[in-house]
Amino acid sequence: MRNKFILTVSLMLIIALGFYGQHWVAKTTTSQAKIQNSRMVPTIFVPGSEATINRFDDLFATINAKGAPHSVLKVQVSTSGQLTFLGSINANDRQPFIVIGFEDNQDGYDHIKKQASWLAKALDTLQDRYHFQTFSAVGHSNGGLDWTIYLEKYHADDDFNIPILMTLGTPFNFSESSLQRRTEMLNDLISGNNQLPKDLTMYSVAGTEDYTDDGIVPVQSVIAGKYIYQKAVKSYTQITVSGDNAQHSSLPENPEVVSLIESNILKPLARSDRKQ
Amino acid sequence: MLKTLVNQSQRWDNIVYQHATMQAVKTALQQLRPILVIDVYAHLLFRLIFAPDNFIGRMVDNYPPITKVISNHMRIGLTFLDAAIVMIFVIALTQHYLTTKGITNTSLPILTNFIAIYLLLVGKNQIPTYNTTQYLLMSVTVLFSVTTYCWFQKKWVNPDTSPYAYRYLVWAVLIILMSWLLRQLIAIPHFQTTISVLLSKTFFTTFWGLLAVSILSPLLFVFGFALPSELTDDQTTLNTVIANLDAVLSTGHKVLPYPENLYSTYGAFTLFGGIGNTLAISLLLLFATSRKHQKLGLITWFPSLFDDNTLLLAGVPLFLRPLMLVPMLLVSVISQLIGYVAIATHFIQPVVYPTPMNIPNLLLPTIASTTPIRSTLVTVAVFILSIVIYRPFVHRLTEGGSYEK
Repeated sequence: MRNKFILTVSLMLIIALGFYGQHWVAKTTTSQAKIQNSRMVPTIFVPGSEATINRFDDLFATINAKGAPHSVLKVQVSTSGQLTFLGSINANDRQPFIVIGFEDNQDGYDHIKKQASWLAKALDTLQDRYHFQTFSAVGHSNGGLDWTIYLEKYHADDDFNIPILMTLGTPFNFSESSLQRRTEMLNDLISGNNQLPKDLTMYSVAGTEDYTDDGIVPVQSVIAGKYIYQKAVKSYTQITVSGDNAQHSSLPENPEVVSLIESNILKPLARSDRKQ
Repeated sequence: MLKTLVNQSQRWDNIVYQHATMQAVKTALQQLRPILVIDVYAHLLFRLIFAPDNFIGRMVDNYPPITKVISNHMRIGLTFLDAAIVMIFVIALTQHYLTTKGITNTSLPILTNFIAIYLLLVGKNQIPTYNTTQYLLMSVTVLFSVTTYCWFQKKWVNPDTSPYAYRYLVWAVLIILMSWLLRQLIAIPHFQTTISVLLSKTFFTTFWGLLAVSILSPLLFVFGFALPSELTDDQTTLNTVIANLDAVLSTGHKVLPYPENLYSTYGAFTLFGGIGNTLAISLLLLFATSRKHQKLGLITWFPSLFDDNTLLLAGVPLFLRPLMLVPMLLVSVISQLIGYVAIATHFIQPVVYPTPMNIPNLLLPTIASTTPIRSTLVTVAVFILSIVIYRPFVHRLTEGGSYEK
């Protein structure tokens, strides 16, 4: 009698788990197949501290004026992790632009760490909605720090393939102008650099107004990125731009930066898309 | 034919388990059972309910989030419980062996073995992760230690010497040193990693490669080696399995690069309840005539359903047991062969998709292949055949009779 009861309960449990398992496998497989087969390769931009999701509007306008326009989607992440979407991605757009901004966009290491965790959540949600696996990343100022922390702490190769990261005026050593004085954040980022994707191509762009800084971020702080990325990723390139639009806030609109984004991100990804 | 095999297995079993040393191991395993039951059920509850990626949480919407703090504390608690099991086994084995040799003051050998095993299993700044398959290593170390203690006492020490005299202390230091050195030599994780790397080779998608695994896996399990997860519960990280999944997801091709692999044959048809389809043993024990074995069947049933045969290994015991190794080998080889033939003849499509964590392996062929009904039929056939193979051996074990002429 006891055995009959145990076996009946077990059989019912197995049948229930079988239905659940079948549902889970079907759901996961459909989603994974969409992601695997997706040919969309967006470029995802993260603005710096105090900047809004409109930070890259001029850059997008400049690029879109030159050829086939890229659709633009803006995502605002609230402090509770809620996402608000503005704009849309055209169904046939293989290289859309996505901007991820944060309600808490304050400066400071603690805020940046939170922003990196929100960035991870936003990326997961975007993948669920648009089923892409490969994207390139651009971070302006502290947006580059958000990307670096994301890559070290939250990124998994199985989830996303990120071939290119470009940071614009990113202060890897905050406002320190000497490479001898490393901030807590820089030390953390250096010690975690073994988690960076090995196949990443990284471009760190610095602006100079007077050979020492871009008006806000010391060049030496941008250069400190080499301690994090050099020899930890596939390639690390340090680029310095100068001229009228080399001021920190103007970097995204700097003609050299626009040209760098086009030649180093958009064209290589378009070529890899055609090869698929 | 089968009766001859059962008789022969029991002969070997008697030879092995009638030896005083193995009697001591058996007694130690029996003494371990109550705390092992607590440990196994605690692990099961953790996996199903309290772990951050717990099974029920994945099934049910709006499941109360188990905070990191609670689950971290539970994880630490379980690790200490695991460590306690290892130590109780060591103490029980030392105590029992020395008592049968007429040695009454066993405090120094127990303390020495306790430290020796701790040093052997514990990495730098770590507490040991309990693994059933370490019984061999623990048994051999402890038995070597107690044998040398008996010899040392007989040859070098007067009967009136204090149990903590310098001479005994020298013995204790030598044993502890030996254990520490052994730790540097054997490097258990390296052994597991080497097997994992080896299993990724395409040889293990061939008939002979899969046959080798179906023979070696039960042997290593019963002989007490620490096995990598690819042989116990998860083959989805193997390159050949990933290649199949990629092919299905990206192109939907029905022609897979490696249709017969460790996941689709070994993982899908030989791990019902653990290595060697040991769920069948739990089922047979439920219907045993003796209450002792019925009780064992009862306590092992639910963990076995979720593919944990730790309790069977120590409870039956399966450890170094020819009477159970023989059917386990037969079940493993025949089950894998059935799976292989069913795939090769295109009766079923191989399992390709990953399944939810901790789901019973019995469901794997049904939910992870594109031919659920046919795969279920093969699963049922394999499970019934496993019961048929185990039945005479388990009957002989539970009846406790001598072999038939």
